[in-house]
Amino acid sequence: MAQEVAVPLEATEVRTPRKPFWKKLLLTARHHPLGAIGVSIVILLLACTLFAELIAPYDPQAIDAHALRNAPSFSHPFGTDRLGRDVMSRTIYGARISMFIGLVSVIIGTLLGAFFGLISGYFGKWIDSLIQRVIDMLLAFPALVLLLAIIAVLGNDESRFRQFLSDYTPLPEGEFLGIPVFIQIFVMAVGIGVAIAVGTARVVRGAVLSLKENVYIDAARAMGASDGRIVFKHILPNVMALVVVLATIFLPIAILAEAAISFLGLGVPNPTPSWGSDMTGPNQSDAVNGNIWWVVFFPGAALSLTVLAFNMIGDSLRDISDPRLRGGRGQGGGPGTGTGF
Amino acid sequence: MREYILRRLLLIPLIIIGVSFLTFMTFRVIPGDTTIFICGFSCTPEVIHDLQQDLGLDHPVMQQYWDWLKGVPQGDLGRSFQTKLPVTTELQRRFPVTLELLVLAVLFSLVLGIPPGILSAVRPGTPVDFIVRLVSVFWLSIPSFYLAILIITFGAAWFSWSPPNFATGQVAGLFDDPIKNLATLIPPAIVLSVGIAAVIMRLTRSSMLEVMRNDYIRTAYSKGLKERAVVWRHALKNAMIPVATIIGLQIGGLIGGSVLVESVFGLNGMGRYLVESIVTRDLQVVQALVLIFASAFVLINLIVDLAYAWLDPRIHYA
Repeated sequence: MAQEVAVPLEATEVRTPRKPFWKKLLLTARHHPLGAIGVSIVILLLACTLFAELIAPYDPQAIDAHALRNAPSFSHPFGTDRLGRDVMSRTIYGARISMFIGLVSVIIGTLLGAFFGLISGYFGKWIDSLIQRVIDMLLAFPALVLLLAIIAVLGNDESRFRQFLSDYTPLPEGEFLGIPVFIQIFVMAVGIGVAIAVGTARVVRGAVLSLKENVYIDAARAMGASDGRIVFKHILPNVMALVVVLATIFLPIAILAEAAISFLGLGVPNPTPSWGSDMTGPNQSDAVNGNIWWVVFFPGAALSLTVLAFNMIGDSLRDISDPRLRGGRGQGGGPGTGTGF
Repeated sequence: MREYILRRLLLIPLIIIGVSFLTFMTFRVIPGDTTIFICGFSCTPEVIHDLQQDLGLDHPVMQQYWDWLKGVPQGDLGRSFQTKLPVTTELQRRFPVTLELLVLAVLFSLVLGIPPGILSAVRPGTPVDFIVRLVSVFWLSIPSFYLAILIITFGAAWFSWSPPNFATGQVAGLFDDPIKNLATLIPPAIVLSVGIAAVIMRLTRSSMLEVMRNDYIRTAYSKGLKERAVVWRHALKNAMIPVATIIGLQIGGLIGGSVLVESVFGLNGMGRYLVESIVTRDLQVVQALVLIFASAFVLINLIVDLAYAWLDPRIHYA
């Protein structure tokens, strides 16, 4: 295109050959080994999510009366729980629930948040005041308390939202996408998504406020572009990068939130494998009273490792964007802490 | 400054009224038929009738809200459906536990976070720095409830230690039996503080690094001051300003964390009460607790803002 027209007089131009993509990637990885480790862990996690059936040695829900509470061994590397279920298989399948809830809630949250942030920032006036005052109030709740309140209201069998989902959407009552009790899990993801949307909307609004002062917005308006066109063609593409960054920050937080809620017994119900719910109830008392440590140790380790991986990636990204502060500045709490799980 | 404080104080009732409205609407309007929501499968026409009488559900929504709100300043937060007792009776027992847990957790997070942060900023690039950064990433990543279970499980297995309240089921009062009380509350407080200590550690480090680059620090060094004096007298106070803010921001997280840690350690605090009430569908209690948590959070944020101005005289609130 334009560059080709401007190429100077034939071929004398000395250009260092462009490094192939993978070489650049390798170089970045060498400079940021922790980030590289983080990325590998996340890839492993994704593999567990997608191919749990192939990786897991046993059915995660299969009860084996001959192997109750077995300590880790060759046949059961992570041991078995009180019903003889293989802890390793449950941990692998747990990744699926975690990633599913994490992704769905982050998608819902950032979409909702970006939408309200955009209209609040762009239209200003009373729309802005209204949306911002509601956000002020939602931010007055401690995150987990807000989340528990949402779950308490939405999650109930008789809640209007639940009824609406099963009556008017094609979501099935039972298993879906290999996830049992799909609706209940989906409702939870919506709850986490709402909590994420609050933070996203605030940040996106701030960005929109400064973006709309740009000259090109005036130019577009002078050319007769409608509000809708300006928002979607000129402002939205500019906040997309920000939204993606927010999504990566919120993903581990959403995963932790799911685990915390399930841990409190308000999330993913038994016997569906989930890291949070496998650490609570009978497993917890087995561990605390009977020293059956492996039933809680491994799901928790998987959860910690996941959060650790995302934190290491986040640190490396911060290093790359601001080399002055190698090691990260933990601003805004850093992933996974603003919520205090 | 005085004007600013006054304005903020006047705004607080407004925010709390907004919060209470939101809470009320969430628990009364969204769920659908409140009575069925409350009594679930055990609903009989008589139960529903009694509940409607009790809650004043036959009145218009705004009047219901007003009736509920009127009671709040008088300490009437409604009654539990499970125990039939006023929520405040239960709170008198539970509030001190949560308050003490939170205060201890903030103290521990400062003790665990600030010194390593300073150390790592004064010696950047050394093994000490590396270890501090590594520890902080690990602390940041371990969920509090997981850490709590690990401590109780392996504490029992290796040191035959278990939290003192596991045997009695009660937390001794701070003034009745201080030693037993602290022995009960210090382990959960440390568990709760670890995540925030990591944040404080990282922020102290980066904020110190930034301050240490200033000209006045170089001047202090070049006039022959000892490093100890430069770090403690010149750098630290300025570096602590962002740390004060982050502590304020983390309080909300601490409150959430206390819900989880209280549940694992079996402490009869407010967080555990919240979870129990959600499980038993005691929405009156949930409503009251959510209101209290949110109001406390708003007040704490105000205090932090004011502390911020006190730490940094350059900040003027107009």
